[in-house]
Amino acid sequence: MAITLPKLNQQGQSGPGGVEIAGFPQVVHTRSFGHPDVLFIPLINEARAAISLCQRLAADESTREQAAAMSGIQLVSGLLRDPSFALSVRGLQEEHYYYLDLAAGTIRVQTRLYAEVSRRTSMFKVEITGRIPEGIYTVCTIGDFPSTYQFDEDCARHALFFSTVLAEECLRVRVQQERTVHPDLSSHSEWTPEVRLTVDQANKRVPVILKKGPGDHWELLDEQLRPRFGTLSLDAAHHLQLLLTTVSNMVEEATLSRQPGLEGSLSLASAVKDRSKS
Amino acid sequence: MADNTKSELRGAAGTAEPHSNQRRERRYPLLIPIEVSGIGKDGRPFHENTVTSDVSERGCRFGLSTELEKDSIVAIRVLRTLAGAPGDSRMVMFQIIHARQERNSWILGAWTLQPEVLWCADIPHEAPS
Repeated sequence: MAITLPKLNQQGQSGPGGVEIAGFPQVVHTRSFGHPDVLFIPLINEARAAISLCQRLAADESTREQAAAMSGIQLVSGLLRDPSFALSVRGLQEEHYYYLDLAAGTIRVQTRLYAEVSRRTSMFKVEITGRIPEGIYTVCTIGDFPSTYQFDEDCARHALFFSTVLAEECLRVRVQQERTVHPDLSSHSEWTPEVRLTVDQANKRVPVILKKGPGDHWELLDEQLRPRFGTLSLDAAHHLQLLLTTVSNMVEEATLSRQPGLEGSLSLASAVKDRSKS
Repeated sequence: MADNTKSELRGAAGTAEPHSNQRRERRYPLLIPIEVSGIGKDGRPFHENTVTSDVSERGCRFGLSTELEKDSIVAIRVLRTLAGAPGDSRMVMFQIIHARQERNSWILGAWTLQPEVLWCADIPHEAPS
């Protein structure tokens, strides 16, 4: 049975990858279909058949080693029937690396995910581990902000799950972690609100800044030359504060409606459902 | 288990004269009893006892009644050395590099995927010139 790979809508989302099988002397390498969006599920399907063979053959202790070897042969043979795969020596650095222990029924994947949310792009090195018969997998991000998620096989069967849902979830958690680690970025403790606008003055455009001072005071400055024009009256300051609150609420609502993954602690499963509906 | 050894266990076992061939490695016509295990073209696992028709340090040729495709993987175990001693229990992985049908059997050439030499004791060691 040859491995059946799903077609990617963007070739750039795949890449080279390697599949190592415990007890097998070489690595099965692919130059173009290594990304988990392409390879994870087909590999799980093939591995499940190989694990089943391993369990059938490993009736007693004496045949256990042979059973592991035969299941490895079955899996490797299945991969090699696709011309995109070839055998290679161990030890090559792979962008996407899969390690399967068929006797134990486990998989470990080391891969990189890219996410872009709100014009912020991040790359994550992640390790995915799990037991194939149970179909539950754990994702750990590796780096400055380690975090852990879980997903089940049904989630992974959705197209582009790894490059969209999982990658964006990684980014969402990283942003939260950064806010926790660097509270000044989110609490605005060092940040002074200011409003920039341009006013007409005798047919001349003058850029000005309204900068919040102590209490409810707002100072009006020339943006370029920085001389102080004066302080807003309390009544005007009150109107300005009301305007800023309204704008802030509108920005928040717009951001949440554009980024369903950023609005709270959505689980991966519900994120997948939302994406399927859309 | 099928057994292809009947007609091939004759003649030059142990003479170890290298074939002339286009490959870099010398091939020796050693008839070493082996067990071949793998997954057949029909997807079923098989174990078959046979005998090599020739071997080199990293490759061998043998006949099988099971049909295998080029690039298939098999595990080979030596059943007995040429001296008659029990073979090593290790299984070494080989990849089928050519397959040709001959009457009711398949003649297969295989290349090892591992550094171990299965028939190390049976290949004559030549003094460096």
